[in-house]
Amino acid sequence: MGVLDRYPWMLLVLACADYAYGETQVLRPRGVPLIKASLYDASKPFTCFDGSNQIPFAYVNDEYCDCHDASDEPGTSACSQGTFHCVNRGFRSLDIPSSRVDDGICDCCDGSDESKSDKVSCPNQCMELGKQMRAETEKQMEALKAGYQKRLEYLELVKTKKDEKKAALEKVDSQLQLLETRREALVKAKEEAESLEKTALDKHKQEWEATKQEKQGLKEQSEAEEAFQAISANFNILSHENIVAKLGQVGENLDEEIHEAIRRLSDITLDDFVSQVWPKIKNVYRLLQQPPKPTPPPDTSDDHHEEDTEEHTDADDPYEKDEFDEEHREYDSGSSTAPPPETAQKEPEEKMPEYSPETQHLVEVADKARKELEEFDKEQDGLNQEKESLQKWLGNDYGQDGAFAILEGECFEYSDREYTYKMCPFSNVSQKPKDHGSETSLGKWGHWGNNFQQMVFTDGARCWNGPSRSAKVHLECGAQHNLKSASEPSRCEYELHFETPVVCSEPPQSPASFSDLHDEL
Amino acid sequence: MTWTVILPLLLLLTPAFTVDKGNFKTCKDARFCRRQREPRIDYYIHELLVDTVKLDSSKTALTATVKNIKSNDELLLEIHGFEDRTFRIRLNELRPLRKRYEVDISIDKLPKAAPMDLQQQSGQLQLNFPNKLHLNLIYNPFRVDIYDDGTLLTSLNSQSLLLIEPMRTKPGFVPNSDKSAADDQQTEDAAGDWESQTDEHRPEIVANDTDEQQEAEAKNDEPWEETFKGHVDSKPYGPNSIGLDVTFFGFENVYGLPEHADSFRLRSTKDTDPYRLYNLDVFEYELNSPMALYGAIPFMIAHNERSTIGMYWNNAAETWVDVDYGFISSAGTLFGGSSTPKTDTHWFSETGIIDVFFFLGPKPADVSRQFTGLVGRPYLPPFVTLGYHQCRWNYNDEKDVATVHENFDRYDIPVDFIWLDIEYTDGKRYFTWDTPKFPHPVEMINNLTAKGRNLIVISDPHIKKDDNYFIFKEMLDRGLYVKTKDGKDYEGWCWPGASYYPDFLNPATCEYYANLYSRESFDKIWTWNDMNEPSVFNGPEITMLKDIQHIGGLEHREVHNLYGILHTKATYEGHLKRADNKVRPFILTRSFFTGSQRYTAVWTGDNAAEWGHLKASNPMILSLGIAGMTFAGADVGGFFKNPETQLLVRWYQAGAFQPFFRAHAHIDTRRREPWLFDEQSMLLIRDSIRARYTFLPFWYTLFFEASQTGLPMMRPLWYEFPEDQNTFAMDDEYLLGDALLVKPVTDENTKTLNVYFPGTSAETWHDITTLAIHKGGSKSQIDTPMNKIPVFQRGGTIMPRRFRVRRSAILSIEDPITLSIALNDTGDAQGSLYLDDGISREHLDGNYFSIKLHLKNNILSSRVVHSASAYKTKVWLERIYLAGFKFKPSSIELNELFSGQKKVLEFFYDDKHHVLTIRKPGVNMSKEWRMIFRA
Repeated sequence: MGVLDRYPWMLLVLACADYAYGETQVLRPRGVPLIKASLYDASKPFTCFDGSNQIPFAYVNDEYCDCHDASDEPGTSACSQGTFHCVNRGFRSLDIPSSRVDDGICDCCDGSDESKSDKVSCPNQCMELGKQMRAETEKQMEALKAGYQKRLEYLELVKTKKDEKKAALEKVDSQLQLLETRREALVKAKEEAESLEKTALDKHKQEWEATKQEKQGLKEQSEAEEAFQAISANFNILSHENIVAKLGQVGENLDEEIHEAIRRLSDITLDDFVSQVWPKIKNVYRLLQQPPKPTPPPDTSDDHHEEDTEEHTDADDPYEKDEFDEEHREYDSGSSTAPPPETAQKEPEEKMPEYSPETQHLVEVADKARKELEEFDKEQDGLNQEKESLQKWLGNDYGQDGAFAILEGECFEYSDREYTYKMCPFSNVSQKPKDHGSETSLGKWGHWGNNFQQMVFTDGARCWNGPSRSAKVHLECGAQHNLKSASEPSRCEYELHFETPVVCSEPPQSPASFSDLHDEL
Repeated sequence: MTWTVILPLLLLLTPAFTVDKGNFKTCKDARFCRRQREPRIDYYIHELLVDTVKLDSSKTALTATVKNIKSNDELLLEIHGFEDRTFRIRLNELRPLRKRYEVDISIDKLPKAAPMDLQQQSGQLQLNFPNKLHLNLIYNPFRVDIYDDGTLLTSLNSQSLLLIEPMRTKPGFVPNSDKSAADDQQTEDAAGDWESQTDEHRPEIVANDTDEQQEAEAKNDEPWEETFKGHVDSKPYGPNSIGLDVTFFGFENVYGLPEHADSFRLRSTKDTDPYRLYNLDVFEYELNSPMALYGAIPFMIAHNERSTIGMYWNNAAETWVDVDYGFISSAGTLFGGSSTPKTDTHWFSETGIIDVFFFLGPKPADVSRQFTGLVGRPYLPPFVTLGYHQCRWNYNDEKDVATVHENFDRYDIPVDFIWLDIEYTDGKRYFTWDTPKFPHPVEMINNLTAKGRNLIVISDPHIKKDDNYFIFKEMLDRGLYVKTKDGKDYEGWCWPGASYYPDFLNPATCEYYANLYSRESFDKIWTWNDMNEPSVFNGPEITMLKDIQHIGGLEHREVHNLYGILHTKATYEGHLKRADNKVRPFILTRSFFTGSQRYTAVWTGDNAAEWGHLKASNPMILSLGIAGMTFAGADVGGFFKNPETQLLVRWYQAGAFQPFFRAHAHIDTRRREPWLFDEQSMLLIRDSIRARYTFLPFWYTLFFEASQTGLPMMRPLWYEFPEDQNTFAMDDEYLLGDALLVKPVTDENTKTLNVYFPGTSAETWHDITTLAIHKGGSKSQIDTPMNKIPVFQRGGTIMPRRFRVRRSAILSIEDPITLSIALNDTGDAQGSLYLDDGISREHLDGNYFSIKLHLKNNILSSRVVHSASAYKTKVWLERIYLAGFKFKPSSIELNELFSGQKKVLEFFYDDKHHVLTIRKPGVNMSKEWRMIFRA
């Protein structure tokens, strides 16, 4: 529109009054509010309010814009930036943009904006509207009052609650302090008891091990002696051929050391045999005593099988392999019917003998100490949790006077045709299809918006091919909590309206101040 | 394994916005395109048989036989001359097995025939027409040369690319029993004809085929049947494509062929695919591409500084056009002689006949008049549709609509239309409402109209397959859907899921469909016809199979590009019918064909919120405009994706100066109504919308001019400055009418723009914001702060405007006019103003005012060149701005010629800017007057 638009019009001609009348008793040009009436003096040339121009008074409201600030055309549509004042006697007065003057649409309830239009006739509806408005205002006032009353109650409640929470926090704190001092003693007692217990248990275990070893030694001695006798009786038992054949059968080579030991067999005493030779040859000897095994089927394609049999041949990566084998073995022993040959050869493990009464006592003492500490810790954890939640409550931003605290822990629902929406202040918003289907998170508590007039929930479930869902909850004053509406104006961005007494402010004392009727009285 | 994890991540990281090219055919995938485009061997040489030349008794139509000297196929040549330098040349098979489809909906009316004189010469026949035009028919090899005053302008078949593949019967083809008896009869008769021909007459294409070849081709590589992405085209009538080369001599710039997302001046397609014309719903289309889009107008303009020629290829089948710029090789150039440019074009379509029109200008405006004289002038739309349109997929419910509506008033932004996309329907059943969300549609509409605004709802052609949906059922019972090749109702997928597609070739379908617009709650709102390529989600290239059948055994292949125009024509007739022919229709369409301007406005489809798409909107609208489709626009803001605020503001500023001005957004985008941005941006957007409204009288006058002359409102610079070679490749600046030069900002963070001012140095251009004056033939660096795009009024023009910006256009229709006059260097100016009631069709009966304004010798005068018989207007003259007025007058006198009254006017003269402002002449615009400026 540019510069061309802005050319002022200079005054050259004297005033020639064609006075316009306002709707009320005070004489003033059309569209002028009462407070500005005195600025339009028909006996003088008119000066634009911004001083940019002076024109004959006849040019006021003459359908030509002479003033930058539109002050010369309050009652026409000639100036694009102007406003038109509707008196609207009986209702509330209104300023409308000049562009709505004489456009064929009734904007003022008194019809004054279309009084020169022949496109439309606008009946005066202000009295009726005023009546309606007053009735509505009264109703609104009721609701406001009720809401505000509720709010005051809430504040009391919240205050009590806050005091309670504070007291509770204090209590928890002192309890926790107390506990802290006791804990040291408990830990100490436990450590002491466990130390004694450990000593006793270690001793018990050692003794048992010694007994076990002694038994094992004796058993081996007799086996060695038996073997000595047998070998003495028939050296061929350990003939080179025999050994090689047997070892070949199980796929092993003859160890040079064993070979050397065998060669010395002919001139050796029993004692030397038992102490020097037997440890070296016992495995081979035992092997020789076994009945010959049927040769395993030459099926090597089965990896699993191979792994089973090659357990101890793969030493490339001992750690990993061991771990794997360990698991593997466990799995095998659990699932196979025949026990593996190694364990079959072993004697069934002897059970550890029972503790002595003294040891048993020490164990019981330690158990008790442990249990006491455990229970103590549980109690302390519980208190800590309580403390945390109390602190959170007390630390949360529940508005300037904390009234929103009343909503903590509450949830509200709204259902439309398809969905049920659930809004839990300070927690989350979700949506669930009414027929079936699972709940979708529309957002977790994010922050306040618009000076405590909005609750903003963010970071909800991700939209397909899009952003995370989010929800804005607009708060309005109402006599009770009521989730009023929910919609999705943009994909994945939800808008909810929530009525709550919490945001009700103190209603004005007199309903009259709700309208600005006094403007024109 | 690692790669399978990483690759999808990489794909996510690359920009996701890109067309899936694999969904659409390249020339390689369209077998006839390959055949037509491949290098030729000599047997295509044609000869005109001299003995067969016949001139009809009125001497306006000549016929002759043209023979393929190798195959002996015979073609029928027809040449028609018309008044206003228009020719029609047709080539058809002399005896086709099956009637080839001839497009007629594109033709509004044939111009008056012009007689010709024949002049026999050696080896050629000269056809002389009035206005020093003549055609030469060269016998062998057959060629047609078109001359203007002895200068060869264009030539047909000078490269011997003429090829009409003769119809043949398919080996083993049994006519379908489901088809109409008449059709069967035709096929059988035709088959009989075929059998009677001797073997040597068979085209070698077939004769050469060995059995193995046929077998291999039967799978996929065969002309009888083709497969694309699993879709089999049975091609029951075999290959019968047509093709012709046209060379423009002395021309190195050709334009047209909408719709493509490409530069305005067509590119050489030597190293790319040809420009493709096949209406398709292309998801996330690519810029700078010859790929087909939603609509097709096979019209081209060749332009040089001496003359302008138009050419129209009247065919609705899949069409491809090759463009190659080159030089005429002649001995002279070998030794440094000046070389003459030429442009070779090659046109080919899958079926139909060769039916070509030439419009010989000689000026661009002449070509527009000649072309739209044939295919129809753009209709004059309702005045209010020139305003701002607010659209979104979707405004969710009545409350949403009401809130958006209220916010326009709250923020005092003018708007004329609120649009509803597909979600208003009950499950995508058009002509129904989703009643839980829209329980009171009539009330909702009335709430809008009470404030001078209107509603437009979408109505797509696909019909949901649902026996409980009355439209589906009724059309099914009446057999109004297109059929498969086996004669069953065709089922495709679109928004509603399984859908049937109305056969708009069937007049009964159109009548049924038109009547739907009289249904209550739809009878007073206007219409948006989308998805009418037609879009079929599970079809080949997202459209219909080519062997689908329309009424009378017509194949979809023959009429594909007509689906959109036929759909919108049915809607247009529905709009007329319901209002007893009294109210102008308004339809926005995505798909279109030659002649669509008689029924609809068009938008450039599903663009994206990218600077490149904003930039592309200008060449796209320019191409549409010169092809007759003048009421066009692009989605402001971009359909897909979320625009940056700066992009959105710039888009509004550009859109305000394009013919159709609508904001639209995809359902997955964030809300973007103007008030949802920071105040500064909201105000900028509001300013651009308001600016639009101040220009509405000018726009409306241009729309009227278009409806009379075919001249696009939005014009390339060379339309007004045909001799200015600097403008020939320009598509980032353009003109509105002959008066406004516009160069929208289409790049991010543009601080200044280099603007070219067309014309000679005698031309002046007045910056409408700074009033700075620029001389023609020069360039200037123009500041482009966020509140400005460069717009200049041409010296010598008078523009009617309205500075009282109302809530909507209709509310301003009786408001006074301001004349913005920019004087040229001799102190003259002229312009015009069109006034009518804005809505009725009474203007067709002459109920309008057309006013010419002239400023010469310091006298401004208004002359009523057409006066309404019954319509009266209150529109009066509020103010006159004269920019470039050299002196301060001593007095200005208004002489009301109708009453003889004289009055002295007040004025203000700004001697710094040389701008004269005249206060309140007050005269009614429908009266004649004279204003005298005394020195």
